[in-house]
Amino acid sequence: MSRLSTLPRDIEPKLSQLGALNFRDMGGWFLISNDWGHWLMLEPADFKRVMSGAVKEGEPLYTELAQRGFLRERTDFDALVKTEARRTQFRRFTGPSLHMIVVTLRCNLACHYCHSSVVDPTRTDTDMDLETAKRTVDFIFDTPNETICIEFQGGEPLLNWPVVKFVTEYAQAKAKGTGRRLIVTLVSNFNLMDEEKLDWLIDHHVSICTSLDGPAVVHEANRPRLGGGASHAAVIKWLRYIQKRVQEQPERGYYLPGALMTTTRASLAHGPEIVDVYDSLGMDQVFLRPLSPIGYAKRVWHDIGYSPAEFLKFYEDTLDYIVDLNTSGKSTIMERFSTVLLTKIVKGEDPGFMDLRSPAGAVLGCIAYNYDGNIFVSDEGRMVAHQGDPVFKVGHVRDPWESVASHPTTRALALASTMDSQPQCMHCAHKPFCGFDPVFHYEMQDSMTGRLPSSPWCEIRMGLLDIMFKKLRDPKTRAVFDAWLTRDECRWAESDAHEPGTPIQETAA
Amino acid sequence: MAKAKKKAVKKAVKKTAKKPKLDAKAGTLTVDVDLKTYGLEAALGAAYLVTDLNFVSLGGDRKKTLSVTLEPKSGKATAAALNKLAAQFQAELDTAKVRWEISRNNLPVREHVAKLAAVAKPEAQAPARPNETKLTDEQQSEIDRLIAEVESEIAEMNQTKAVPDPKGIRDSWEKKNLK
Repeated sequence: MSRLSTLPRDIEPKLSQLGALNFRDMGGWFLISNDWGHWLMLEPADFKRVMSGAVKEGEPLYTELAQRGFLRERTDFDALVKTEARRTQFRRFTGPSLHMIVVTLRCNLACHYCHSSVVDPTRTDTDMDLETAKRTVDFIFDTPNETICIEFQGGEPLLNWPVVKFVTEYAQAKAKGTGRRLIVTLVSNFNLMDEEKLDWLIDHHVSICTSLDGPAVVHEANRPRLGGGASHAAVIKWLRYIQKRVQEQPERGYYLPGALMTTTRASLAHGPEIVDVYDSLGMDQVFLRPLSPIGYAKRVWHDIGYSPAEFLKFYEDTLDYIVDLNTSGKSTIMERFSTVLLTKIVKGEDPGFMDLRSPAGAVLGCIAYNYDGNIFVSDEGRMVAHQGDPVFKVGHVRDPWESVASHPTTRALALASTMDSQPQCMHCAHKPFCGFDPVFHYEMQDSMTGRLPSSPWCEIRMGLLDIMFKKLRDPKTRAVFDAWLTRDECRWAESDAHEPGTPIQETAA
Repeated sequence: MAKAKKKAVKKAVKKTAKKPKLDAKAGTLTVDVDLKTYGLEAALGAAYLVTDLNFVSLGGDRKKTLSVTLEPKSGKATAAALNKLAAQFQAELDTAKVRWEISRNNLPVREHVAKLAAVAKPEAQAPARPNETKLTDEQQSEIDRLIAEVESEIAEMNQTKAVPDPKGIRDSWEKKNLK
């Protein structure tokens, strides 16, 4: 009845033997998991024996249960502590590593789902000025994490090019002076890119990411130019050109460009074509992301939105297509959301994905800086403020880091997003692999803690994890997933031989 | 013998379980949950889980009996639908009881592991932050030069004229809709 499973009627539970576990009826088999990320897939008869205390020492199932911490009398504390420490390393609160700087709200596109509160290109009053830019970098270097990633966002960051350059060079100088590790990345729609800017970005090792929603018919439906006109061609052109530059000059050690898509109603019928576009460009992955009804997307949700069930169908069908491409040898393209979830499920590691942490990464892992120096828990939190509600503002770049870290909103978000305090999450078998976004729930359900039984966020994530576990039961798909995991490199992983302050050079794939 | 014992237990449970009250006219179902049998956390947990499809109101006495009234959101339910809902809610209650019992049994283990994991030595030891954050004179003069360069670039950039917008596309939603 609820989205959590009920126990089959023919089970008489005998619980004295059982360690901490949550279970889920997966339709024909059962999944059990525990806080420490261990899991087992059980046939119904075995699940019944586990829950009724009928598994005896000496049986293979007994050994499997014991090794994974499911039996109280065989709890290996050292092993569980080691697993938990690795899985939740982000909880040590080393401070945020991702710093999203909105250098301007100006944009030359009018994307339907934009949650960046963009304005037209004449609004230079929404550009970050030099003094604020300097204070922002100073604030960033006051946060304690040894690794800093600065991500330029907008609007369209290229519209405030001087500040992009200044922040990059100033941050690189400070990183060198302080021995910090620095990554700089730029998110751009590519429609204002030119050779001069690209040369500068390459010279300064700024990695570039763009938005590509798939074939032109989908991309143009979602992301028209302001004042009319196509935006897709520029994206394709510059993706190909940057790849060519990287491949022709490998000695420069520059990054291949990345691209992200956003799923709207226009995307749902074009899953395989979206994948084909990414594959034809030689991209090593495609990220099938659901759209959050925040910002402009909330206003036009009836036009561009979809139900969780519709998204999950799109996701599973498209994932099947991607897996088929891999098994047939036609492509090795990966799906990003899968690799994120599989990193948690199979590798037992944190993939650095802020939305899938407990507590969530807001302030603890990432921070958003508005053009005027105001600091927000995330870019979505910044959008909520633009709509007139400043609840997610946690300070200004003039303030000391400690005041932002200890801000009541920071604490409230940490509490709301700790899944052990959520009445539905605490008993869900997907808890160790999932996450909770208080900003999403504040926007959708008027509550930072949300109402999980009716939460579309929960329905989608639960559905995605169901899909992952079901796919893991197929040996061919499992082999593809394993290959992805060995190829996937966390963006935040760094080599040991790295001179402080110099840009980190990832291996061009 | 074991089968007979099981039957006796089931009978005893059935005896103590109160029959849910159906109000077909109002389209509601009220279940009085014995808190000695289920516990308050399990009762509240089960009630919370069904709030996606039902309006749920609570009453009664937190120490003895929690009265849970369910009203399907889909509209006025028939008696048959309410009976089905009663069986479903009973299953949620029984499962919640098991979940909470597992949680209580293992709380000390979970807390112990969580505490030790929080203070465990990280796998990769990050170097300590240097105390000195000042730039060298050379770096500072380079930054000053950069600032001057950027200031003049910004001044030049702001000279650019606006893109024509005959259809008013760039007018904000607020400008168009809020008076």
